[in-house]
Amino acid sequence: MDNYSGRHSTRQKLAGNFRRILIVTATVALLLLFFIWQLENERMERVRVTIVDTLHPITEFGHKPLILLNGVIQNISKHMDLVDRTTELENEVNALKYLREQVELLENQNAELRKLLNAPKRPVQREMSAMVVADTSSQFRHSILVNVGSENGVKNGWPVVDSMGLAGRILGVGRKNSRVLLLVDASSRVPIKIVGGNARGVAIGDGTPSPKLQFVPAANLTLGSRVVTSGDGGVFPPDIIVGEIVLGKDRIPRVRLFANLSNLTYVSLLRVDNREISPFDVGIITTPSTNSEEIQSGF
Amino acid sequence: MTKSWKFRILFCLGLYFIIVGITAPIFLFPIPIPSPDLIYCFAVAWIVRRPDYVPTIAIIIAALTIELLLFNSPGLWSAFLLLMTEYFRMNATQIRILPFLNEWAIISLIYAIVQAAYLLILTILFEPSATIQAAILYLLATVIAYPIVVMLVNIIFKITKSRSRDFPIFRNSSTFGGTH
Repeated sequence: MDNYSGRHSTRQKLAGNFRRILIVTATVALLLLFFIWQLENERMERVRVTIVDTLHPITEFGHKPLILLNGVIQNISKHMDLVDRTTELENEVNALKYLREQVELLENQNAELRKLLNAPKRPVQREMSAMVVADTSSQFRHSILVNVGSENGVKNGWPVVDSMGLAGRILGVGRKNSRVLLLVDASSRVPIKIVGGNARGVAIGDGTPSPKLQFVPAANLTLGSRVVTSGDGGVFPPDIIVGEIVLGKDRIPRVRLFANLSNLTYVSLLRVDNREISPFDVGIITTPSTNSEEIQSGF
Repeated sequence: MTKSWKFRILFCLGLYFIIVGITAPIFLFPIPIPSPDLIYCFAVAWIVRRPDYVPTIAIIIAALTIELLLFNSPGLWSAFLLLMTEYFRMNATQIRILPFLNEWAIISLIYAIVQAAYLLILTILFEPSATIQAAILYLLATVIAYPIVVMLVNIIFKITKSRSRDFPIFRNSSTFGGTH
């Protein structure tokens, strides 16, 4: 480009220098933002939730045609086997009706037995449904946005379930939207117990579809056993279905989640407590007994 | 002048659609195919071809937006992306005359180095970062996506490498080039 160097006027050189100064300033500002984020994490996360809340309507505008298109594609594939599907569903409904009667019977029996034993009453779970409005997962973090927020009374730490099992918990509440940290996220830890025994452990997310199972005595690891939340640590209430024990490809015991995280559309938020849990309380066992008592006395 | 403004707006629209596509609640995790870094591919594909059509501020805003939306600690990756795009902007005149395979190699190599540095910093600061396996898959997806993005940019936006040296805008943009 030497043949052009003669043409460079002072004005252009000045513009070039000015531009360089701007780029350096912007880089320094961005790095500064990153370090402030490291130092003032909790406060900055609140700022982020507010920003995401404001940004969301802008991206939502673009989501609409994509969701519509996705719906059309899914509808077409559903129409293909409509007749078979209907018979299948009718049979399933009949089977479920019978099961519901059974469950009601058992629940009554359970309540009576608990009364006899003077056992504390199970807290009644109230639910709030929400729609998934954005997939905010990246290679680092796995989360979704749902369309309820502090306007609807959502609190940090509420468990989020789909129709099959636990999906995650609320971490970050904006005015209109909240963020759900999924169980597969690397920072997700869920105290669990194995159904039909007293073995307890923690389901640790690591970015793969099935979280790792840790701190469970090897003798209690039966493949296929159901895993539910234990309620230890006080973030998750006890006895929410999580999944079943499987052996991962890496020979590590893992929990195959029942919640269908690859296709969440509607989820339910469980109102557990009015106590605000810090978004950075990861829910690992600290003082299990006091915390779980606290939760029970709250009802 | 109006033409370059038209393309600048198209570039911003492209970034907007990429952000919308990434956050659309349609195909949620776990997807078998790891998603590539489309913002990088798109921005670099434009900047190497037509640096004058790429407003730097749009790259900064898009990078920060996606970092905020995806719950990274924002700032660091945006800074890295800004520096990478500025590097390509400075060297656009040289990269433009290279065959596509060389361009692809340079862009992949620089991305790999910067991504490795980024993950290293995150690990040192105990930030949640990707596992090595996921990071390699992400890198591979980005490398594979680059020629596809370039092709789409060529087809949709008609942004092609112009080899004519007497293109007036190129002369202006070489003011900021690294040749002198």
